Amino acid sequence: MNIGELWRKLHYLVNRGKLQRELADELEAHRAEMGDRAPSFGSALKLREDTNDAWGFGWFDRLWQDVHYGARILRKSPGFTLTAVAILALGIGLNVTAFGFFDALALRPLNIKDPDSVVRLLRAAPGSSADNASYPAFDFYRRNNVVFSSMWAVSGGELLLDSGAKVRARFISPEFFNEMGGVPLLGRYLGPSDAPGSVVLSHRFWLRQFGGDSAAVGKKIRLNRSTAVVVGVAPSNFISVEPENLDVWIPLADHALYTPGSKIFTDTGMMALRLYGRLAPGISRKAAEDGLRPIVEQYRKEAPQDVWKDEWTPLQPGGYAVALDSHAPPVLLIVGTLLLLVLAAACANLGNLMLARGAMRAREMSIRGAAGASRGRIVRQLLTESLMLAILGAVAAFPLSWVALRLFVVLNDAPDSIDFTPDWRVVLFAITMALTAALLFGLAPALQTSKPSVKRASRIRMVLIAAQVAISCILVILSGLMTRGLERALTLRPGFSFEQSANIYLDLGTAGIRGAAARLFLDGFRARIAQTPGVESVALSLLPPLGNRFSSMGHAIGFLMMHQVDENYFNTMQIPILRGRGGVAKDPNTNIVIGEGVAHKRWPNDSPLGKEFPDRDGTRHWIVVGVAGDAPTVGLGDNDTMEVYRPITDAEMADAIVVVRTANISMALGTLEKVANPVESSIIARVVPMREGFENQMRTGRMAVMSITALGAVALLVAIVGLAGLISYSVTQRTREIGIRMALGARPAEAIRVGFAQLTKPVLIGMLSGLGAAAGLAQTLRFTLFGVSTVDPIAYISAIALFLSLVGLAAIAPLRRATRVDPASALRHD
Amino acid sequence: MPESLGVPPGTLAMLILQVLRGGPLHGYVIAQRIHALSKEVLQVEEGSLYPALQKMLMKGWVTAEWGISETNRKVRFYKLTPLGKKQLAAEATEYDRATAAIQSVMRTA
Repeated sequence: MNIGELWRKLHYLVNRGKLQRELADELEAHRAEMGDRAPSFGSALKLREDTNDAWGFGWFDRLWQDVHYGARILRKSPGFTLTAVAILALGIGLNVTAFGFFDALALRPLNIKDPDSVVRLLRAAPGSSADNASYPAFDFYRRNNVVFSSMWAVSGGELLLDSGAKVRARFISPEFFNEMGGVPLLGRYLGPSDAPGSVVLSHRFWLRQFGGDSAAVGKKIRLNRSTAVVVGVAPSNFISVEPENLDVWIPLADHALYTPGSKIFTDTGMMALRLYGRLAPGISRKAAEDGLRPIVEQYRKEAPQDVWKDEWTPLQPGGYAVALDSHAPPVLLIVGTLLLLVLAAACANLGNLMLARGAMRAREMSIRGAAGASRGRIVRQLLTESLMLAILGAVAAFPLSWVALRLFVVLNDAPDSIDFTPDWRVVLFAITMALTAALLFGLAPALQTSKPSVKRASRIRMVLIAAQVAISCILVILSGLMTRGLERALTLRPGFSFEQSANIYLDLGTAGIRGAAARLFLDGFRARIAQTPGVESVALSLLPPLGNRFSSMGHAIGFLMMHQVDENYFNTMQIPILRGRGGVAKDPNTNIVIGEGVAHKRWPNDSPLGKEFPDRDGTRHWIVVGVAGDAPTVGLGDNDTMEVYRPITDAEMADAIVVVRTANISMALGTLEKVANPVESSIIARVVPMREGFENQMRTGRMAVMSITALGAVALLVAIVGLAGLISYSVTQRTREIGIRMALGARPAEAIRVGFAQLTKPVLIGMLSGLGAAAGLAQTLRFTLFGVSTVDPIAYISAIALFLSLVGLAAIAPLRRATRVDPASALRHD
Repeated sequence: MPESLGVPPGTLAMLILQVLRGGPLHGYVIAQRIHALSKEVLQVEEGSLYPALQKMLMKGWVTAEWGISETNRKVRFYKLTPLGKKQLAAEATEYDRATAAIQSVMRTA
């Protein structure tokens, strides 16, 4: 077909009505010319169809016909249509929601200046990696690199108002606002020349603190007992790298203003900044990584002890809310799989419905066949109907997913500025889902309906039933496993006590208090805390229990969690000393206490007391002086905990956390906060109950369990309804057979057997494959199971029991009907 | 008079193109002309004439324009395009070859 022809066709398609009228006029003239002789036009309709074919849109007409006819059919049975659309809306809606979420966070660039050229700098070396870097490193890279057109740094912080309310702050280097782009709502943004004490407020903080006062610029606020001046307010849709609901932006240069004595600009070991760069034009991410290697080597001369061997800076896309690395988290995959499974279950269920409807439409089909419709034409008609259902379902899915996304945003305090409106990718995804669904639930029934075959019908039905059973088994088992895991996490004695305890964060290092000075400060601080009413015990640790600091150490027997603690730690955390003593403080460089797990692994048949324990490279040997009970204070779900405790040294004092156990934390919290923050002190102490950390660790798990349980419930419900319908169907079909059997003296049990006859095989097959698939999928969920086995019999057996009892329940009504069949009327019944 | 025949399948477009060589004609005259030139053997069915004309319009072999017929009726005149001339030449050659081939089979076999 050449271009001219294509144009003519388009022209015809658009002007169809006019052209048809013209043709009619032409035929009229022709008829008139013929005078009294009979014209041989044949049917006017046929002529029009032939002409349309010549114009090349016979297919269009036929599609239109199919759609028209389909709409009539769907309107005629509103019950079926509504059910089908609801099932599809649910199945597609779940997937569209999840994809919309993923799209907004990981696929859609942030609305900042040229987001694709923004990268985040990480640190990596063989065996080590970190997200943060020090200010001296940042400054060195910024001055010496040739691969970025600009670099900036961001550091998070929590400040306190005089009222004690917490303020979420971000310290930023001068380039930040210019690189994000956009204009402030009021005043100006921060730049390279700000008077000390300048801050920019976020929209929400401005509303909260200043009531949306348009004269807020120039007003003062007190942050960490220092006075700051508002120079600008960001608009509500302001978005930056690492989107987050923030309160204020503060120049990095003012760090010491809010943290007196801050050494952030000089301390090469203080990894407090997250670094960003904008790739210079024409430089790829890979080229930039290579270009930075020599810079890192040069920087080593400035800070030999703070650059790892073979350190380099991997670059991550920075212009997205979530950076999608090549190693996508397995959670993403498993969530996607489960959601698609739910849609598949919905399709299988709908397929059964379509099949049953097809059987009812047998008469209509045979009439259409007799009238000359080819099988292909009938299949196309039926598929058009399926497609219309799927598209209606997809359309209905959008409001559903909008509600779900809003709910998520509200529940999780997601940044207001992230745009969750569906874009073309989401729409395309929904269309793909609808098309796939239509084929999944429509093709087999359409083939069957267009040319009925009893054998094929029962085979299709079996496959569909087995698929539904398998999918609901998978989801129910997984949700059972995760519920067991959560239960275990909640009830398990973790080996230490945290309910009435708190961590006090001091950040002495940031304030420039280090070494012996830090020890001196902490001695006084501990004494004050210990005298506070309600406090039972106080200790020091480098790792906050249930906080989010880690320090693991590779070792011959696996990864060890290394704790640096003082002599009171075991008592404060109530970790039992099983053997030896807990007094690690004596002779800090040689004595350690090991956890029971380590003892079992290293000396399975021997007492570890007095044994030498080498560190990673074998250059240093510690003497084991005690064995403590296993206490996974950092990773609660970790079943193979391997803890090692060594005394905290003066050099580490600056980063120490004060651990407090009280009689009742909710009562003691207020007093603790007051005692920890005396008016004359320049150190800001944050008291965080461990319960908060515990809740945080549990939240993710609880959310996951809730979502999988909800999915499982949906799939189960759909499957049970489908099965019940099928039992009812087979009973109805065999009423006559049952009647005859009863007349010949069969017991009711015989009738029940007939009712179930068709189901046993697909249910069994579905269940077995569901069990297998669940066991496989559970492997990837291990980390949320808190030590529950992936083939935990209780979860599996209870899932099967639940499933079977629901099937039984659903089967009661039709089976009662079967056992009450009256032989005489059954035989009379057609 | 012997019964008229329908146009052999596949040749209608060629016949229409051929009679249009003399100049623009409207539908009724095209049918008349084919009928007369075939010594009243070939009868063009109107039911296939108009779809064929539409298809030829689409292919760009002819163009159409409204005009007034000798009997003073508003009719559509079809006119051969250069593309149509080329098509006619191609189809005529094909047709001659096929006819010659068929005839040689009919005579010798």
